[in-house]
Amino acid sequence: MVFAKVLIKCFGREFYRINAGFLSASIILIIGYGLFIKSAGHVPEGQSLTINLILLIHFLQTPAITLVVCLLWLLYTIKCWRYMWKTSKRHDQLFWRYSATSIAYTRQLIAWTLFQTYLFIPLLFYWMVVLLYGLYTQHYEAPFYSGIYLLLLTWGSALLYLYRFNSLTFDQARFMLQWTRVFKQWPKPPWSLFLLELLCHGKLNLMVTKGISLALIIAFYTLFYDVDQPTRTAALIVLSISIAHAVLVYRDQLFTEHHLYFFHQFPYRPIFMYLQRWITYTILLLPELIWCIFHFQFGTTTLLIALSISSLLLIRSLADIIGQHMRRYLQWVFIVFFLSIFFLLYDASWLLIGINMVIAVLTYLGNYYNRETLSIVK
Amino acid sequence: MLQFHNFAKAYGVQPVLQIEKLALPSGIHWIQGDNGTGKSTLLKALAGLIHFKGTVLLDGDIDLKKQPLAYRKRVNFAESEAAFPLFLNGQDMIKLFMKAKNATQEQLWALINGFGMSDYLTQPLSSYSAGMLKKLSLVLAFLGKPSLLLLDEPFITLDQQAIEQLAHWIKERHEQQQINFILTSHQAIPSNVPIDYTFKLINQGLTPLNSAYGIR
Repeated sequence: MVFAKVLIKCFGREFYRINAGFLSASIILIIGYGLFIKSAGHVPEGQSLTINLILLIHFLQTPAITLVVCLLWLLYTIKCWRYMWKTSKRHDQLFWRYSATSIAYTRQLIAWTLFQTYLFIPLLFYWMVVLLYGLYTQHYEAPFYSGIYLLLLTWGSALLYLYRFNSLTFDQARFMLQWTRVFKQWPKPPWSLFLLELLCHGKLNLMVTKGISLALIIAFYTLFYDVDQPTRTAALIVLSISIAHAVLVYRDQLFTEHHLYFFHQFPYRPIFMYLQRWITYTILLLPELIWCIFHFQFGTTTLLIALSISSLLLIRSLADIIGQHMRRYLQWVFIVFFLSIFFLLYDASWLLIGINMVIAVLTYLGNYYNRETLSIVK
Repeated sequence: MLQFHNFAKAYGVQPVLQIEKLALPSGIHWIQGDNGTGKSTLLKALAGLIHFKGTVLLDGDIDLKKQPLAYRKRVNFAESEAAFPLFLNGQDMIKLFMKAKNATQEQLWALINGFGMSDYLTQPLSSYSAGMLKKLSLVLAFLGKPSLLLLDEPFITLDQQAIEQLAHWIKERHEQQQINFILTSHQAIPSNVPIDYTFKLINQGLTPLNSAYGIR
């Protein structure tokens, strides 16, 4: 138990702190699905609880939904593995290899199992609610099999960590070396660096973000295909897509602060560096922008492209101002999101784009030479 | 060479550096100081990487805040422990710096050969040792035509041969190209580096330690 407690203290709390944004976004998405998409935006008074329970009934009764939830649990588990794999290489965690490894394997395995159970608290909470609801509605199969599935994921993870922390070959990121070989000869202008960083270290974040984008685009075709105001709806979807990129934007801020600090020492005009950021975000949004180009008329496409990029630049300026405070940053992102919705609902999209651009540019130029601290992180 | 007027740096409400008025003459300067006294903060501020209150003038007329580009063209910086993106290789970093600092190939190869780095320049930085990374950051700092080089703990993690090479470059660049240096170190500087002025960071200020120093 003592070993498990130390593991939780060293890794568990940091895992939740790092993934606070991801977990909050997931909860909001699930509630959003229950309240807005499932009900097509119309929630009769006093029925919000019922609608959320529909999700549970789907989990219990619809094999496809059960599979989707199990897939999401697997993705979450992979996220845990990635975190542990990466953290285990850090210099400040090397001491485990000449201390904890002397404990018997069975005791280590028990500690890692408890540790993974701690990481699974959000999944266990959902599973417990499903179990109670399953008992109440006499649907026993799905809670039983999903419980076994969770147990297997927990033990599998514990075995993986056991192997990882007792293995002698842990020091080199071979996968990354292969990736770097792919783009070894490519020119690497400043705008490309964050995109390459995502390819090397942020694949999961990138995939999840693009998955949300895809889901929003599918929602546009399936749920909103016959709405009266297609441009307004498309603007709302594009705005949501930009907001879904908030975690990537936060990563960009961290990466720039920690690893691209030297650009501030270059004799480049701030506006030149701002142009680099603009190009980075345009390329980051390229798949969604291509969708806009092929699906909408020229005027609407121009509006949607300007809206998506200006929103992304605005939330990046929030990250610049707020710094490394994920929770506060996400709170402001949601405030921006809801304020932007008002502009779009009143068909003031171009005004919103103008405000976004002005705030983003002024914030950037105002902050460029005024950085208070510099945290060079290896 | 470098003038401070009402220079002050604080982290939050905690003052770190306060230099009311000081003029550093041309030469090689060694700033000593215990851990946490603000040596690296001073160099980062002088490199233009972090904000401070007050004025810093280079060569009498280039104001760090009012002429940021002219200042950055003439001041190069090497951090104590570089944290460049690990997926890049040495060549990528060199290309970025050469373009920004207008360096020549001839200059570059003299530096690379001097440190014996040509074998691993195409390797990703993730495979570099601390010493290799230190050499790279020093090479990057020497690129271009600086009039002032700020080197933060330049001799740590280097092997003996590299220490001698760096000492030789500092001496040679100062004598032949009149490049000025500000070095920080809490350890002894090799004896073959001709230090002109020594300071110690005490009580948030720079205190001269040798008599040769005179305030202009």
